[in-house]
Amino acid sequence: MTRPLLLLALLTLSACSVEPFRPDPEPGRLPPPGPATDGGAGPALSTPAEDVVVQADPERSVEPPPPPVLEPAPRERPKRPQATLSPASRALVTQASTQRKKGDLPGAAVTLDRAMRIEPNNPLLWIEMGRLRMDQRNYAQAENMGRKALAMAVGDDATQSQAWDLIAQSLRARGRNVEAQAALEKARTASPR
Amino acid sequence: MARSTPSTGKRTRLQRGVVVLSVLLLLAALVMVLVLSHRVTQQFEGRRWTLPARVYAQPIDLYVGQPLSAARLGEELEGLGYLEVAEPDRPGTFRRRGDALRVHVREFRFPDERQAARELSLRFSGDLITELRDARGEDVPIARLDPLLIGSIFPIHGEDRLVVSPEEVPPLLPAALIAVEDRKFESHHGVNPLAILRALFVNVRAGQVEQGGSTLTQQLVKSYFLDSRRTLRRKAEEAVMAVILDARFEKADIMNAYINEIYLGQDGRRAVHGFGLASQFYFGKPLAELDLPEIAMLVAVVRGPSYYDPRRHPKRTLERRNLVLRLLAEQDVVSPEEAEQAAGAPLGVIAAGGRIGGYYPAFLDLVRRQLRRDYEESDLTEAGLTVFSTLDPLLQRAAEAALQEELKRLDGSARKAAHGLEGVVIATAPQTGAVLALVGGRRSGFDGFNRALDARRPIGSLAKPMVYLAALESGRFTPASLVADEAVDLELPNGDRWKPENFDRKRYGNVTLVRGLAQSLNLATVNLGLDVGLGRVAAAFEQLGLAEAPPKLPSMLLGATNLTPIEVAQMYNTIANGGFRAPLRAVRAVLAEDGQALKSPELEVSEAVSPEALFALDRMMIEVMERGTGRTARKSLPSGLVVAGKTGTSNDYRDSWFAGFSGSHLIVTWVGHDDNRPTGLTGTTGGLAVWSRLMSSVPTSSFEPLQPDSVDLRWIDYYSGRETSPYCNGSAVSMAFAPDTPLATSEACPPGAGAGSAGDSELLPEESALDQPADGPVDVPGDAPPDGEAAPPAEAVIP
Repeated sequence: MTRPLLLLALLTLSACSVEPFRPDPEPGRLPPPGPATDGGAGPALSTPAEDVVVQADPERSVEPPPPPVLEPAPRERPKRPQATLSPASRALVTQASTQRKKGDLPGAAVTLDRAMRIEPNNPLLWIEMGRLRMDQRNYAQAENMGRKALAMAVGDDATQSQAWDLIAQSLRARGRNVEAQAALEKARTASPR
Repeated sequence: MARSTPSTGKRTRLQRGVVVLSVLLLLAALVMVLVLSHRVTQQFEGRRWTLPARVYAQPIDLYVGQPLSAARLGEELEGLGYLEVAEPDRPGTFRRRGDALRVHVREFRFPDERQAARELSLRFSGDLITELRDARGEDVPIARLDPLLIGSIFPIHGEDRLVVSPEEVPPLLPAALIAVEDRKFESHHGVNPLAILRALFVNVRAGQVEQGGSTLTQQLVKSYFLDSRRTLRRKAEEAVMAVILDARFEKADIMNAYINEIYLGQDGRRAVHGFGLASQFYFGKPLAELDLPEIAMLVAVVRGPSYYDPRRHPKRTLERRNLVLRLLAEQDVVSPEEAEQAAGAPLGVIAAGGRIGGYYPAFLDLVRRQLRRDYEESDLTEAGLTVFSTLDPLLQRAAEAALQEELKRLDGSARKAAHGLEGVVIATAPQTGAVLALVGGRRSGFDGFNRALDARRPIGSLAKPMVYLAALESGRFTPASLVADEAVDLELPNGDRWKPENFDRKRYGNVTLVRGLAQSLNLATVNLGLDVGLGRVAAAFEQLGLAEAPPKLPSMLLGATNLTPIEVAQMYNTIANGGFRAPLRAVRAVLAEDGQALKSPELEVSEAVSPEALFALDRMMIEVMERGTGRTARKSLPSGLVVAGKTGTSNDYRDSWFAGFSGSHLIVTWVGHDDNRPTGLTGTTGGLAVWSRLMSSVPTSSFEPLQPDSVDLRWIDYYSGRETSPYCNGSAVSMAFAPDTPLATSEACPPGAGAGSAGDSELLPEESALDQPADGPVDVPGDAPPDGEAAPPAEAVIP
């Protein structure tokens, strides 16, 4: 027990007492991603090492009183490129629109469902599904699809604007005009001029 | 004359007696005939009008960018019964040359469109489709293969046959059956006395049974009642019923019933009835696509499916098949040349087990239960519906294999309690709630107790994320908040005292929330849960999708709640789906017999949890896999793959759970004994082992939860919760906070500190040395389980 503790203390000291400055990761954001080949490696993996011994540290939490609170970093929202459909999903969205125009709503639902299997995280598909739910007069689900799209389109103003627009329509269809107006306002502010 | 009077009287009485007896016998016979008639008619009508719902797996989509190799597609095509040929000029054939593949896709009626048969040519680069064109060389954005038929919803024998309609039967088949089994089928009245006599003669002369004299109708009757006793009485009854059937029904209907009914082989415990299923079982393709030698072989097998088992007795079966071919030629069903050519063909039987279209009774059970919400049982079994399910056959097979292999490994371990375990695997697509795979036990082809849906077991530490979620949602806690991992001593309403312990019986003092969850600390969790309030925790279960909140008892905090694996999957699916609840569904679409779309469970989502709290929880659950009880999975998972999850061990090691997810799969596993004996396994050694074997064997993507606008990620020290720099040491974790959340700053290593001379490279080996004592190899039997949850069996954690 003592040896690991000692080692830990040494390591902590040696690791932290050093001066050479590396650029800090953007405040409030993840550190720079790993090498390009390391596709998908998330933040948790880019922490320096596996783990320290769990049992070796109960005393660690007994530290001197907390230092003063840091100034909050300025909250700058990073933008993400506008979502686009892959050729395969685009073909399916086109097919679904044709089906919707012909009144084949169940067929359109199956087609969009298929597209979602290919790109489940593409907010545009959720917006399309929401528009279909509008046709089906399932306004509550239309709104929910819009909210799902919003969550997926963080940082993508143009797509979020479309999602807000869908939400506004679904609210208006249920007579919730004040909320609809607010949603429409959000669609407008999110929309890139 | 006078003398004759008494004798006359006697005779009259005798005569009267005889008459009465005869009448009685006749009546009895009549009653018997009526009874038999009723029985056989009921059977026949029941089957004849029955067109059970057919259930299909999810079809394989083909598009540029689809992660699929040429070799894998080739395997999938073979699984669908596609034939590899030099020139794929008819539906159901393909040709593969290295990274190029041409396939002639079959016609198929999908729920959204009828897909015509057509030729496609594909090019691959490694594991990706890079080109997809039609016969004219034009790019095709997306296409799909006809889906795998996984079974029918059949009321009487379970889901064990693929009923074919007369249009799907190649005309050669009935002709061959008549030629070989029952030449007078079209003209006799159900029985053929001449044939019986001839068979008797042949058999007596040969000294063994060489020929049967039963008509097809008699064979059908015999199959209905599945009575193998060969008594004279049975024979007589069967004959009577055959005559009745013949009198009451058309020959064509009897033939169709025969084709769907007759026993043709054994697939483990599953009896193979009907030519539709037999065609899949022996040749891996639809009945309509069989050629002459294949049909002749099936007709040969009719005579004795175990004696003429083409896999076990190929020589014998081949001889009989060629006899069938000769008979067909003799009776002008085929030309002598055709017969001769066919006799030169190999049997062409596929390897057992793989291709029977897949038999997934546990998954079919879920399909059936979901359809029952919208349909009458009779609609499902009789109306000829087509059901498009969400099953991913590749994932299903991988799930079955992962469970079987891990349980087999445990069977071989020194830990006696871990022998003969049962298990469950459920896999879903989190975004849409589609159930992709479901295994209800180690014998996956066994149509019995469906543990995935019906086994109610304590969830152990799988309950902890709900506690932490409730804490985060309350707004009073952040991942960096400290909670006391100190003794708990509660008096319960019934007067008992409750004194849970940590798994290792240690106490860790003040710990961060992230650490309490990652290391599954019981005391920290109970103290947190009591602070947050049992009502809020119970509500979190409901928010995540549990139909009824668990009883608000303190033991709920450590998972004394009994839940089924599918309920657990529903709750964790919401966690994996960014807090959006998507009801789990096994059905994508249902079509009526005429192709009309019918009601089916639709894709639905609803925002169930605040995205901010859920995002914070997600980050904490990633740490479970990085530094907590789930990290042994790292050894088998691809190194770049980000996953999140939670182990669960119930009291006394009775249940070993794991629920975890990547970006595209949520997988829930359970391992335990049906009789609830202790297993000696923690969630890590049982459930997690199955989980990581499966997760690492399927193509999947990293879990990358999207950060809500209203949340900041900040680096904190895992132990103290103070804000720190990612470069300082191994204990910095990136956690989610509401904007402007005040955080204490680490003095030793404040935010902004850079990497130093003792940077990462030097840090790593030392830390892994430190790592040794805590993390013993889990596979060593009898070893103390690694850091986990639950107290040692000696003392119960949960009252």
